[in-house]
Amino acid sequence: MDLLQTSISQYLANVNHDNTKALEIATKLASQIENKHLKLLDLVKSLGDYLTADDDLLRPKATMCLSQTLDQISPSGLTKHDIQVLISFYLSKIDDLKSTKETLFGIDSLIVMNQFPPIHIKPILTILQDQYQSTQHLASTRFFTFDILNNLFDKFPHVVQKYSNQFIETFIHIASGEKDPKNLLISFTLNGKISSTLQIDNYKDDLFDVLFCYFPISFKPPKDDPYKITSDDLKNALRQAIASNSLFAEDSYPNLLEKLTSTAPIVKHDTIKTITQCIKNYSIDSLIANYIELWNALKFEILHGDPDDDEDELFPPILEIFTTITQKLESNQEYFEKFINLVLDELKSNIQTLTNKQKQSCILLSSISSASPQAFNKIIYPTITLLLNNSTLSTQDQRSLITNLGYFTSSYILVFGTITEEKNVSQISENSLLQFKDEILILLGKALMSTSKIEVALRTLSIAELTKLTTLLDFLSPEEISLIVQYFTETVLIDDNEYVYGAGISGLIQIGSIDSSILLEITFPKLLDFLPIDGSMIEILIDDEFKPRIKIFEVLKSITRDKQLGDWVLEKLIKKLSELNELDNVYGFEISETCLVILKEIQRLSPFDTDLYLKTLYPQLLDILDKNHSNDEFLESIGDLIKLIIVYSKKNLHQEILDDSINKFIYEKGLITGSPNKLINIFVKIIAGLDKIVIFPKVDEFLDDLIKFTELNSNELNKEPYTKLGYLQLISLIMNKFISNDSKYINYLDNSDGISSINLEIFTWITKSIVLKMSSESENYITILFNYLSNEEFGLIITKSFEILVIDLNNFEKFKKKQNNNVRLLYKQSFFQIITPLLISGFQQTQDLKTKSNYLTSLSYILKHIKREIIIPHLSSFFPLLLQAISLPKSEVRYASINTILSTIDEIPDLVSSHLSTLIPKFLEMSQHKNTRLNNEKVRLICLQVLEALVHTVDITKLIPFQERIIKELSDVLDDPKRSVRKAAIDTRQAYYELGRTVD
Amino acid sequence: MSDVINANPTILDDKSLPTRAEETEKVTERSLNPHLASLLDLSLVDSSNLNDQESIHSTPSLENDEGSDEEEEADPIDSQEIFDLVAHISDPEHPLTLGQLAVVNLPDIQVRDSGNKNEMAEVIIRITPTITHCSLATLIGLGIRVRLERCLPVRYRITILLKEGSHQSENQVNKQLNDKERVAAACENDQLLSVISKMLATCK
Repeated sequence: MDLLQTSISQYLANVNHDNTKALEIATKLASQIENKHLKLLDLVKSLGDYLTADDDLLRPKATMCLSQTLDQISPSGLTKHDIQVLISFYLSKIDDLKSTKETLFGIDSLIVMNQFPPIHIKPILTILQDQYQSTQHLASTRFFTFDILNNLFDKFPHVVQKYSNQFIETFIHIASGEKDPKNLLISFTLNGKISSTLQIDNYKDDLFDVLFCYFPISFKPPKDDPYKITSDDLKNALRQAIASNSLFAEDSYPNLLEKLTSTAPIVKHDTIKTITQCIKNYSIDSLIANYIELWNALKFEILHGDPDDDEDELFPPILEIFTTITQKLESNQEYFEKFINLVLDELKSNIQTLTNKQKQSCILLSSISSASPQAFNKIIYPTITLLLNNSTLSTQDQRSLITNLGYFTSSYILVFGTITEEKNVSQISENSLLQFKDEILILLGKALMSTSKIEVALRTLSIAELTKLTTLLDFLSPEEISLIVQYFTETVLIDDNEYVYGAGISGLIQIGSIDSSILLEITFPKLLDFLPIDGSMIEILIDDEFKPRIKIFEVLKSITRDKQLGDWVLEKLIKKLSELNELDNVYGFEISETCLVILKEIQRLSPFDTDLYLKTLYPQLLDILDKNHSNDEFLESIGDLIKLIIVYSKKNLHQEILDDSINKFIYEKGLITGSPNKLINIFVKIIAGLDKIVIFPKVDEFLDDLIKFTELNSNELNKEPYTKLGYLQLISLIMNKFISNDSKYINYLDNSDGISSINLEIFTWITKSIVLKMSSESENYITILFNYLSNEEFGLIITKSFEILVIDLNNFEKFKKKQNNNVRLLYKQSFFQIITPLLISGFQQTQDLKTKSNYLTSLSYILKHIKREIIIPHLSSFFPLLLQAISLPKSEVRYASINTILSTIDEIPDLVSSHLSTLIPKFLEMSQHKNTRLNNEKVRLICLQVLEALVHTVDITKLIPFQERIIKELSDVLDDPKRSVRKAAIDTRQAYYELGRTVD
Repeated sequence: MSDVINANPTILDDKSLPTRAEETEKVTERSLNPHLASLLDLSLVDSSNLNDQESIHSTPSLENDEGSDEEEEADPIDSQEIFDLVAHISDPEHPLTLGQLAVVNLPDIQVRDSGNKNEMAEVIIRITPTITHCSLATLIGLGIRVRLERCLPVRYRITILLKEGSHQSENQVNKQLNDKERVAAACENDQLLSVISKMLATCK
């Protein structure tokens, strides 16, 4: 008992001060009651005196204690008797204005109890109706009245039915004048429930008024809104409620249409959405009674609007209303026809002649026609007849006619669907657009093929419209689509305008995506026919005009997007390649590049196995190379094609490829026994493409031989960099893919006889293979290379090694879902984390300027190939290096370091602004046309760009002191001999002229 | 400015304005495959130095970049460059640029420059107001002058004239536009300067 008293005292002390603590106590009491450790009666008794105390502060607190405890008891925790006693107690307390909130809370908690006797519903309603005045209470108190009604409605629908009149009256009583958003949200929801389930005939006006007086809601939630109620929540709840009962129609439509005249777009949108909702929810009869009114009001919004300048985006939702009306009216044939006829009659005159309302009328009609097949057919015939009536048309007229027709083909798609996306329409048999098909095709064909090339807009439009026609379900015949393909093919060949060309290409792609055999039949043979026999013809004659032959390749690259087309094109192009003679390297390169792009693109769109190509194309390509491998570009490009074919083939074929290639290249051609041969690059491509699961026979010996061969032939190889890099890449690839002992060559440079550049190159490429793997040996290899940066003899050339380590080479490309090498995704991050501290500490420790420069040069080589995201975290640690690098007497280093600052300036404004007084004079000096070997065009340009970038990143107050100086000193740069530098100086000066000046 | 005098001027498409033709790069066989070019760059030993046996190991000296100026091919300032500077200035009363309104035209720009940085040079621009009684001709002229003074080296003398017969009070306006004192005075006027700032804001 004492314990109970303590709890109560604690509760009374904490409530309204520390409500979490109070809740804790209430929860404890509740669980004690549920566990029968405490009798409810005892709690009431203990509270007794407080509950009836005269103290206006104490009484509510005590009531709250009881109510909150009840609230925490589970619904099954109280007996019917308990509830009855408590209800009577609470009902008697309702006139205690000081504790109304607590009382209502108590009643609310009791209603959700399982044993709550419905007999108390009527008294509760009566008391709320008679003794409660919402205006006397705070929002939090009023909340409980809504919650009580809401709980009653949900829990006792039948009893509420029985007392529906009183329930509605009570609701109207408590809801009138409410303005708290949280309460309104319940009020709207409850109103919606009431209106859609109870008999509201006698109360429809009041229920509607208690809703519509809030329309339109312009509520902005406060910043720290604990309830997280959004404006949309409220709008939706209100909209649902207004649309909940057809009886509201006679009030809602006129009122809503009046709100539509508002000029605020938000209000308009809200109104339009509400009207749509009403049409959908209300009965058909209420629509029949109101459709004329709706039509008259809404049509003006469209007819007087500008579809091309619909800033507030009102067109789509209003048009949706028309579609909704049409769909709804369709259940009553008589009124459906009346409506359609009304619309047609009114708009006929707008369509007949070219008025400024023709477009709007067409949009309107198309929205109605998109409602259903029946509506479509009823609208299309009369409308299109009128539209096509004019025989002679100016270009302008043709454009608007095609645009207008386009609205109806869009409706076609909405009603019947496209070839790839059928709508479930039962009777497609009747379709009145079909009878206009020929006329439309002639019109569009004429607009595309017989108008001057200058009419870009018209031609582009007709291509887009023709493309759309080819997608319509059950519309064009195959012959007609073929004709369109012919049009498009001719257009992309002769028209160079980017819009027309682009539209033609996407048209061909679209048609090809549905059925590529049409392209195969018409477009592709035509394109291939234009390809010259040999490389001497750079231009080809198409339709009396000379066009560069590269155009054919561009078209092929763009439209070959599936395997069927790819098979055909690759076969023909590679056949062409094999017919070329040795001098046609450029032409050959163009062809093989086209094959490469096509193969990559098809693989990207839908991957497929190239096993078949291995049998057909692969040997052909090798044969071509046997005949002709004098040109490096050509060789490399064919090699890439070979690699792709291998990569995309099944890996169980790879062992055989490897064995054959070793035979062919290593034994027959003697690539590592004879003299150096550039065909090694083809072998590299094959190795690069193979799955790493294949077994390379005697690989350790092979690699040793390969390295020895490279060392021995270094003089010859140095004259042939392409060949040399082939051998080096092969070393790297084999090390990466087939050697598991990563430390095998860690001591490679420990040679008592001294080393030469070739040893360093070999070691660099071995290190690359280790870095790519992210092997634990990486750090050791990198450190060895790093130490050579301070080497007197090799320091400078070794800087380049660091570029080799991180540059992306396509021979090391890792293909998705393929295991063609051991290249890890995050190797650059890991490398960067190892090298940055080495470079920074090395830079700080050495005094030798050459070595310092080597560190910076290698850093700039690395930064060239590493993404910003990886750099940024390390930026502040090597920013001092960059600052020093700017002053180093080497333009490459200067450029690289300034470029790093420029590309990261957004991330480090504080760092930069703390160095302004050194940076700005430095940049100003370097942007001058002096000492141009050092400050070459690139350096001058980037200095100016950094100066301009400062305006956008550094705090203006820090920059103002430099403003005049910058403007003044840059005036000399305006006379720079290089145009690009002058332009940058102008832009930078302009930025500083405007600094601090606000342009409104 | 609220009263638009010429509400419906002829407008040129922004794309049809004269531009400097893209300097076409010479297509050499080497640049066919950029990837290969970057690969070949990865050789630690520069093959072009090979004839000179000594240079294999002796790395290029650090001081290489210091000293004598490199010969750079100069791009002289020409009328296209001037046109690009002024064509994108906004008209004070239309949301269009002077280029689009054909107020400035490429053939009406003359540049006289000997190329010697120590000699005076001259730019003469003839502007065509959209209508002959255009009251904003002086403002447009002033905008062009401010733009050019900011953008051209100080050795340039800038002359802005109305095209013959394009304006009712041609001489008066010409005098006003090329009067140093009056231009300087106009630039002291903060309100005027902010109008000009707005006009120049669209410059590319």
